[in-house]
Amino acid sequence: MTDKLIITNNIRKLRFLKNEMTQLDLAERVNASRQTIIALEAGKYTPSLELAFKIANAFGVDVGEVFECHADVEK
Amino acid sequence: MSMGVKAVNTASGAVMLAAYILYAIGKDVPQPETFESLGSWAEFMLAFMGMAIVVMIAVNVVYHIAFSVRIAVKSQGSDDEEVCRMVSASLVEDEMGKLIDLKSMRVGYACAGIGIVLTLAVLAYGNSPILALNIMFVSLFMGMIAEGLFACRMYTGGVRHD
Repeated sequence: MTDKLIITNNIRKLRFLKNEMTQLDLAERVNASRQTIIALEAGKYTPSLELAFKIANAFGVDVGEVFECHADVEK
Repeated sequence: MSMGVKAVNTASGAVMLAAYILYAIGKDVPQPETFESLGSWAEFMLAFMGMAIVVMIAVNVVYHIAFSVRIAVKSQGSDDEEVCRMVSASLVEDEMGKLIDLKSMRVGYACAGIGIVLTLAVLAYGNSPILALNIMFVSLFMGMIAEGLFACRMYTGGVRHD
């Protein structure tokens, strides 16, 4: 039995709360490609700790408000 | 490297490999095989590699021009600065791109490695050195194509850190 961590994020929601920030604006602020922001929002990529903090700083919130972690118990 | 660049490089690599295989199948192999005939194959392979590099550079230049034009057309009404921002944001090399490059490179090396082992096996069992040389050359190209395909799959399907 293993505990697999499922990491979700609220990037899309936070972008709209932050004056409808575009994916391009966020990508430029965190020095990543737009493709990476798209993959993050779709849950296809989990960022490094550094990028996670950069994203949280771009929104001016705590990293825990951007990313959430759920444990999925696998048999 | 963005997914578009990877896809373009992989496609042009596949076309070059197909062209090489077509040429190699049609090429006369003088019997008995001599060191000179092996040398002529090596010369051709070197020339082909040079051609492949030139073709890939040309295809990349054309791709980047077409990509910029497409973005400019899509964002009509935006100023030049906005278009430049969109182009550079799409082509920036970041951590996801580097992770995909690292993972896909493993696939490429595995393919090339299998080819080298196959080459040695062909020689060890007393088969033609020209066949061995061709297997090695084709496996290097196959490795590059496999690397590109794997990278494109990860760009569309997602990539994990494990």
